[in-house]
Amino acid sequence: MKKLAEGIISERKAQALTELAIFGSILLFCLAMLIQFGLQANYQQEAQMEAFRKAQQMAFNRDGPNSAVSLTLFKNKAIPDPRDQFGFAERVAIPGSGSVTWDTDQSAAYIKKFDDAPQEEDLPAMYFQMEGVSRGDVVLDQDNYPTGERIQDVAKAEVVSGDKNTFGFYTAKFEKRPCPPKIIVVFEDREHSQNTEYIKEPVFKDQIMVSRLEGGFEGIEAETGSTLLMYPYFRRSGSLIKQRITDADLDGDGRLEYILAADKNKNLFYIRYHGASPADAYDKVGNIQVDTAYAQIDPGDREVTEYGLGRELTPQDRQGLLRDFEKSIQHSGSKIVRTENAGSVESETTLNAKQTTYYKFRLNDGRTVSIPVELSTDPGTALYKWAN
Amino acid sequence: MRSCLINNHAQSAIEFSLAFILVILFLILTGNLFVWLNHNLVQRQSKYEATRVQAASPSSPGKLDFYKTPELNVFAPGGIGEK
Repeated sequence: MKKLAEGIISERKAQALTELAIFGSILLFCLAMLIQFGLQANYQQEAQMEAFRKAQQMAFNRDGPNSAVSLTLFKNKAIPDPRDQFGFAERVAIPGSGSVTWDTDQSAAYIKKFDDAPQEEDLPAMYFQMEGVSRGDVVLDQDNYPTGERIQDVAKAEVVSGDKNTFGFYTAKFEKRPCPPKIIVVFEDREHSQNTEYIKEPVFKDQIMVSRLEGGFEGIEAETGSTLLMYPYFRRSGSLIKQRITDADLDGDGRLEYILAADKNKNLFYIRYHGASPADAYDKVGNIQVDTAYAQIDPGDREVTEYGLGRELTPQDRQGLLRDFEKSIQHSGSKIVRTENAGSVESETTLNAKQTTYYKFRLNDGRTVSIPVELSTDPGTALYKWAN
Repeated sequence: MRSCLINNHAQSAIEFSLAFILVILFLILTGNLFVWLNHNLVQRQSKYEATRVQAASPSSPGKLDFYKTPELNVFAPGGIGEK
């Protein structure tokens, strides 16, 4: 009997210990999860608010009308996680982003000085700020960036789309450079893309040029359809908008046409043709119609190859290109021509999850042109100003 | 046998008391922590919205110092220590 009682008591002691161990650890786990979720929610809210307010500051501090700034902020916070190994508080990247357009109400004044080339501060700016460790394995040549800003972080990735289109995406983070963070590098020759090394030096998104095998730069090949210079136009409200344009060799004569807009529903391009005569353009690019409502364009035979500089474009080069482009539109009489039934929409492609989406047009002769979706808008508004 | 059982009764009473106190403390701590975390979320949002006009004015664009997280004191009411 005595032995039995002792056995029961000792069993109860073990049971109490077991209960303590199980319920205690469950309670501690719940507490740790509460801390984790709570801290994460707090940091997330804080990062989101801070990003927006900082974007406000940046937009206010920039010059130019309608100063537009987009800021993505990554805060690096240590948040305990009960699922981690004991003693290791993992650092977590907490993202926050904000976009602000600060209207300084100087549009009218800006239009007056539009004869001058647009300045860098007139373009929308995008900033990335990252706390903590830098990652990346690409070292960029500091000399490529004339402003001398320090590059803090670079990451790279490659995306293969189909069997011909291979793009290298470089994401670089600068201290204060107001430039798109995404840098696209394209192959120099689509016919030889599988055997050709892509350009080692990244170029900025609004300066995409393709280096020729024989040296110098040329516009983008038709297959890529990537974006090129910023094309400025006015809305009916009078505000200035910067639109990217695309180059492609629509007629297959080896020279590039500016594609100002594309309409995927009508299989229609609005292009600035390099030929002097719209009639020539009509002959060369299938069923082209001249739409005089969008007239007042320079007839100058300005090919992109004229801009072959044999080196990476500097901001001064870019300003020169823009000035050239604007003056050609303002002071001469070539046409913006419109192609109809020049091809058909083949597919819609998104190069990666959150980047540019392209419509792929197939021309009548079988070649393809990829047009960013953002160009597939009604150009009537875009070209309104020039028609007056 | 009898004295042994009595001793164990006393021990369980002591253990219960200790465990009860610890559990209560734990609940207070957890509750205050929960309140503190939620307090920060709510108050930060409230201050953020209260300073929206100010943050959009040229005098103090993008006002950042709109909220300071109070110190955590798990034994103070609501977990809020000194600000």
